[in-house]
Amino acid sequence: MGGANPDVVLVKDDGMRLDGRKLDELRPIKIKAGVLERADGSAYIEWGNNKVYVGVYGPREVHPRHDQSPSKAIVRCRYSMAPFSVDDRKRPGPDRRSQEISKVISEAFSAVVFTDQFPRTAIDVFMEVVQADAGTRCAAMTAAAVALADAGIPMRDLVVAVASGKINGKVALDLNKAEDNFGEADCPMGIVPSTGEVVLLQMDGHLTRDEWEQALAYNQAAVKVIHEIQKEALRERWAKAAEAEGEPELYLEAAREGAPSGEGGGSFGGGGFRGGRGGGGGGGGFRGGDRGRGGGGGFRDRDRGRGGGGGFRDRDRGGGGGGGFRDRDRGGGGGGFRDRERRRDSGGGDAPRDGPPDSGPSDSGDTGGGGGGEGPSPSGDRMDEFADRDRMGLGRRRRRTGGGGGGYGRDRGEGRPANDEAGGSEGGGA
Amino acid sequence: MESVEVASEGAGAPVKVRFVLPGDAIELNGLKAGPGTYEEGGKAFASLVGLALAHKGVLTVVPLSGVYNARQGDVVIGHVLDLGPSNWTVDIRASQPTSLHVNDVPWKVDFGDTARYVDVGEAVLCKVFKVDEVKRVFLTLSGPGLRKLEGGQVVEVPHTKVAHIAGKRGERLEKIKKWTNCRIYAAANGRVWVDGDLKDMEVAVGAIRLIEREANAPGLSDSLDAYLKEHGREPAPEAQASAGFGTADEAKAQVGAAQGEDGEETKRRESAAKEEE
Repeated sequence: MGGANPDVVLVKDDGMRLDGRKLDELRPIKIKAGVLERADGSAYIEWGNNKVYVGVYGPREVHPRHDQSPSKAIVRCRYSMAPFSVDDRKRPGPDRRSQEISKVISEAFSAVVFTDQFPRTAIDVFMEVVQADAGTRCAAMTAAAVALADAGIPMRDLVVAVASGKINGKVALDLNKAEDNFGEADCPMGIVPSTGEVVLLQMDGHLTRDEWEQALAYNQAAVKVIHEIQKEALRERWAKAAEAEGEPELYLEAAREGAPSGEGGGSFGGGGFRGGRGGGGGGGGFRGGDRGRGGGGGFRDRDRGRGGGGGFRDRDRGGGGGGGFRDRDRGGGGGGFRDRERRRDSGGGDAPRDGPPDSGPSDSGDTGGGGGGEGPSPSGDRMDEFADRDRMGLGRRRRRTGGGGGGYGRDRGEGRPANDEAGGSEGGGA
Repeated sequence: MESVEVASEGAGAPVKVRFVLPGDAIELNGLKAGPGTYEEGGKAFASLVGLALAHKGVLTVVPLSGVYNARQGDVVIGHVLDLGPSNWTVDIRASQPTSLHVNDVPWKVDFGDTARYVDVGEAVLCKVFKVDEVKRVFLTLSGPGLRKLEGGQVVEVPHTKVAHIAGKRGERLEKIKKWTNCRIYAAANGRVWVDGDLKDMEVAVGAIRLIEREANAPGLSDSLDAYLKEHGREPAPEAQASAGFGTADEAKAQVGAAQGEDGEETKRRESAAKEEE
């Protein structure tokens, strides 16, 4: 280490360190989860004299786009020290050191977060060190693990980071500032508590193999202690919910929704719409977590549906609804197909789309009624709208269908009770 | 954490709810490891902060936080972010914006004419009809009750609180509707649409916020009742159904049961359907 100086006494004759700790003793640690209102998940940690805030966002869209991965989420971390976190003002902004720390922390978390569950997204972890006293990366990581859990991000386990180093020729746990500055080595580790896996390992200075083994042993023992503190912070944060007081059965709904349907689409069967779709979807392969086990039955089903008749495109051409479409709609049980068919049959009519309001009792106006022009009625004189569309580059392609469109309009009213509201609002334009 | 015994619907088998943290080992006892869990070396662990519970032979961890995870069949309220010539980009508070294609709306939309039907900034009540293998979400606007939302307001709550707002079989939401004379729809993604008189809406939103705040507090139902008694308006006895919302069949009214399907809406839809036939 830069300032290694054998003349500085860091371990006193009685084997105690300057701050009164034993060689294998941690500084006091306090963690609080859910401290930031705006972040999806957050945590605050005080580790000795270190103070770090962590905010987690995501999974969310990736910007810039070229960073995104089509198969998994990326975990982006930013470790940053506040200008006032150290004695001499630190020049704010990312520097070499904090960029490196950000990188290794991001890699450490990528190892435990189930990134494959959120393709094409980013999980952002912001670690702000507001007061530094050696061991900030460990403090930041430990808090970040809590913040990630708080944000509801699925991961294999929390991560605990802790450092051991060498002072006055002795291996010691969790160096403080003086020890870090004047000691001989510092070796931070990020460890997965349940498995003992090491997901982050750095070393500043030199340790012999034996010394390193000792450092690892110290760290692994400390991990257990810190992990408990992390869990306690999360328990405290979610204590109220944890008790599931009142109506625990409310959660059943969520569980039912999430239940995989490997055994014949059981959970799909219930809800008409979902159940009917595309022949039940077999394995319900769509549902996130079950994808693997579902055997992709669902997906193939859908594929077949689409391929079967050219699906969507067929309809555009005005053909009689491709196999794909029909499959889907008939399954849906919503009568969608029939409606569509009916519309098509009478589509040639020339009833103006903004013709008479439909007769359904629905148009009594929760939405449309009287709101003339509000609804999507092609009144034809909305030049401003067209101008907008021109600006979007759509104008050129826009087709103005007189009769055809009109026919749909009227039929919508008659043939689609389910969506009468939409029809209503259009009718209102008359 | 103490286990809580719950009667599971239908089967009558008790369900245990247990608070778990990522990495906590879970005893499967012959159950399958479901969402929110993972298996490693023949053992199961939780991957989320949440409540582990068994349902239909599957052990699931129901998350207590996190972004909304769209599932097939969910009815959600989306805000239109952008228009394409044949699709809308809709924000449903999932990890990514989703797509609503013109083939999945009840209107015949000409190419490039999407703005005429739903414009940027407008809200739609739609259904997740597909979540594909890379978690892209596709929406549909065709289906009973699905529509562009006009009037009223949309309030956002954590999606984890929607079940609390709806209550058992949607009873709590029904109560709020009755006491405020509002039309309310609590969508799965944590957006709640409230429509009614300005004063009434204020009360309804207040009630929703109350539930959001005290979702897990003991005695929520009591404090909600007290709130409604103080601010709401006493519903006329048995007036609600007949008051002016048509004659539809009560039993069929609840399409989205626990999701809090807007009963009145459905009724009207159904009466409309009947007349059609």
